[in-house]
Amino acid sequence: MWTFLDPAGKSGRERVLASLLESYEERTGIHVQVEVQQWDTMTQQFLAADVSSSAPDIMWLALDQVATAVEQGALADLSTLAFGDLPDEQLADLRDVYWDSMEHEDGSVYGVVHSRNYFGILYRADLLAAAGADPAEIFTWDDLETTAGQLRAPSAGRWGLAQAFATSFADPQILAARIMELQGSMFTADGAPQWSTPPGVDALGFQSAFITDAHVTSQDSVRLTAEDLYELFSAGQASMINGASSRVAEMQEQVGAENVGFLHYPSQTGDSPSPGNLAGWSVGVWAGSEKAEQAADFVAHLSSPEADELWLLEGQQPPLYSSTAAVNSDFLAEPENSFLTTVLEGTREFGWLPPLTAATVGWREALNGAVQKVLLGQSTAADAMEAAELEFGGGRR
Amino acid sequence: MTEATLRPSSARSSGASGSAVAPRRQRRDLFGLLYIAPVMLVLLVVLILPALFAVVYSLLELKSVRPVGFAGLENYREVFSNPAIAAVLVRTLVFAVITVALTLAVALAVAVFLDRLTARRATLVQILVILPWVISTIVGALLFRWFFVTDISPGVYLLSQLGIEAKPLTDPTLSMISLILVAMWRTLGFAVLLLIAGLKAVPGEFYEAATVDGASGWQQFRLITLPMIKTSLTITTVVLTMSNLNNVEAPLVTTGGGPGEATQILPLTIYQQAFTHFDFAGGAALAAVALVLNVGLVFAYLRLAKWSV
Amino acid sequence: MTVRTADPRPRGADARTLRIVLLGCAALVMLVNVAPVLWGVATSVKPAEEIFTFPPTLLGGFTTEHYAQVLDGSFVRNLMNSLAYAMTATAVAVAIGAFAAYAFDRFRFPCRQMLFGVIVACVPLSMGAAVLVIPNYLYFATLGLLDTPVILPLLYLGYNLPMAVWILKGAMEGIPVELDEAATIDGASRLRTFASVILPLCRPSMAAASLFVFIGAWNEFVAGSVMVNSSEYRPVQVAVYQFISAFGRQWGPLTASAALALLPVLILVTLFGRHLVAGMMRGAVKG
Repeated sequence: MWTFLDPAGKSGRERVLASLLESYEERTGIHVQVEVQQWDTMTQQFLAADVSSSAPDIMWLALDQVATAVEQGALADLSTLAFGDLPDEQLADLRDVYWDSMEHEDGSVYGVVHSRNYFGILYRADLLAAAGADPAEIFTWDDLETTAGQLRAPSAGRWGLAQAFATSFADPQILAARIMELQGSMFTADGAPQWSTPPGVDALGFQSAFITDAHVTSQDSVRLTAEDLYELFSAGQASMINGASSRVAEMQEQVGAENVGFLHYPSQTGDSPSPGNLAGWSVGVWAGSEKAEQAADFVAHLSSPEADELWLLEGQQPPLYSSTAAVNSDFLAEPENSFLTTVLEGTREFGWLPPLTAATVGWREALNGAVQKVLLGQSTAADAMEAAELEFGGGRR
Repeated sequence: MTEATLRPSSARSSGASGSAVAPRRQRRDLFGLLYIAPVMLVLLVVLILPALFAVVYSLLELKSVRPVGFAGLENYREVFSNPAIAAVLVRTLVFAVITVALTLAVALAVAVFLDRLTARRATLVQILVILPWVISTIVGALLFRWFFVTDISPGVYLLSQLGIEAKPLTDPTLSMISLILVAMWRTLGFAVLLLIAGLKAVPGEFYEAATVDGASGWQQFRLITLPMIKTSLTITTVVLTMSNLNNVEAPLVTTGGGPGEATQILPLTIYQQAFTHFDFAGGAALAAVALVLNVGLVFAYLRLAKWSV
Repeated sequence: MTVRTADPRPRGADARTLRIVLLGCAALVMLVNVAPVLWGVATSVKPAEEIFTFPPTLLGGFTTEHYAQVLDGSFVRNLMNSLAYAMTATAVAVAIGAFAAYAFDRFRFPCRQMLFGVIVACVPLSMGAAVLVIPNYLYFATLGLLDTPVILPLLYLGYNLPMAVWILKGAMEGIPVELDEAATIDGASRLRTFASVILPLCRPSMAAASLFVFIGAWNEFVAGSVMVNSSEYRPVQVAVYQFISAFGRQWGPLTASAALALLPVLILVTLFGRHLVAGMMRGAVKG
């Protein structure tokens, strides 16, 4: 199995993986060999390994890269393997927006989504408190801007709301949430971008206004990577950042659990949050595997209700089954786990997924490129969106 | 063509060594082929065949990575229809020329300085100078960024204490300058090493004679040093050019090609074409073009410099 | 007469300006070279909670936890891998490289010029390997070499061989042919001449070539990260880079492992650094 989690590692997720490997070996006598890979290049490597018939039996793929692998024919249909045998009850419990999006029209499924992730706003509770701001009062974009304005401390080099538009290590942005809010979609069902539309162009203007008009985000955002943001956040140089729920646990460890909070994206009216991007890692089976049935069985083991509870309790991972969440509501109610509740709300109600049955890889980079062009004054919002669609389309052949 | 470029060594004046080496006995025998066979075999398997394969691969029709047919020049047409590519090529050229020229200039200054130190001191200084070269590019670029560029880095902090707001990567021009500096930092040590070796080979008498004749330091440098280290300069130039035209890690780690397209240079574009956009066909076509350009450049340069075997 | 005095060259005010410029240049270069490395080492002994403090602090807590974490995993194994890969590549490169250099310099055989041209053309090929990583992967997969202990030493050998041959050939050019002839007259075979006359004389160049190959092999990253997948065969640079994980850049272990990875080359350069210049002097610079 190729994954980015190291079973010998110390983090919660990694320890859970180690214990699941162990329990699987105890139950079946089968040892699953884990080869820890570079997380940002392992999909590409998997695609090449598929062609040269040297891929691992089990593979973890970033969600927006799954469709490319399916198109190439690199993944096996789980519904014809172990997942076809699961009790209906369990499958129903598992069925959510992720499962639905992963399922092709003919009922085939090429992966189970683990390490789920939801994008929103991370904030430093301590810095907000010091500035007299209350995160619970942030409902509208205006609220967000006002709070970010209060938090800005130019003398200390601190920014209210840090964002990162570099095209390496690119995360989904407020821009995406805003397009979703205004337009209800980012892509057509077959993965064509819908960005140079009036709402899309409008959203790009809205996104850049954080820097150009409200001055709550630094112009430096044109070069910052998502990784840089977490470091700035940890160093107290950014009071709020656009970020991923999956990084909350690490941030808690670095600056104290009580100092890190996670919010949905606000919205125009404040009635309900804007759609945050849902992401994750799809765990699937290589189409060329000689032990496909066994491999799928292990994926089922990783995704069993018992495993799900472990991932939640020990690894602070959003649960896959709705029943797991229901049973462990006490755990989810604890302050340091409250971000998981936000993620679950996102999964159930507010979040959005790109189409997972059509290739969308590179959309985050393309959109970040558009933001950069506008901020550097090299292009109008409309032209930038058109160029982004072109760049994105070019890469999807 | 190669014959013309690489003149027979007997015709070469072996300048740097000072004294003329007697014409080497040129035995006409096939034993030599046996001697070079292992090297040629390794190069064939590790470098030449993969390069040929890469060219063939760029002509295939790909579904992601998997070949599904023959595409002819379709991949090339597709990737070069993108107007941004021309800009990338020009930018790459500008980057390479400036970086190589500056690196050569600074390396020469440092080498001349080192050449005049006593042996013991020179060894120590030399180690400090070549330090970034002995660090891997990836770690070196990370450390460089961690010290000079990251917003919470001591470099940025020290400059801000001096009242200088240094966020170089935010501005397109400064970002390119930063990339050039990183590239220089990375290769300077190696360039110094090659050049100082050339300098050491210049016989001291030449300078003594020139001093007696009343030549100034600059004159000596221009009339004696430069011509005498010409070969060493040629090789340094080739290695520096190739190293900068092919480096993915430094731009990837430091600027990521931004802001905008400011530091988007060819090797990074090729890498991103495949690894970010999953356009493996376009990446393959670009890589093949880069390959041919590289080899062509080396020969063109050696020819210009009248370098011979 | 040929012995150089400490400073026989420029004289007068002109020289003083030149000296100051050179000194300034060298000092700046050294500062810029050394500071990031020292800061990296400083980071590697900082407690995790102090790494991201701003303004940056130099003096604070001291910890070896990052080193302990690094040494706890497969890092030592990966370090040993690289040591083996680099040593193998170095030994083979210098051995077969010396033969080839000898032949190119002393023998007259068909296609000599063209074949040396091939070696020169391999310099850009070796440096351009990073952008060819996907076709390379497929190519070596068909040879069945992926994820084996053979692939990386083989690649590192190939990548650094052209330069090694170049350096060694230059060195042999500097050795007068009369020495070979004298040996031949004494009845030595050519192989004998090569082993007993030529090789001992180009020892410094062999040291330089060795160091060059070793450093090249030790620092390679792209092939190392793609061509092998199991940690059993992973080279050290990839092991360092793994501390840039999906959980963020773990600067503590990252700098600690980078420092450990730097140690062997630093030792080598300190011990053999002077050969580097001496060897190159007889080698590459003469083309």
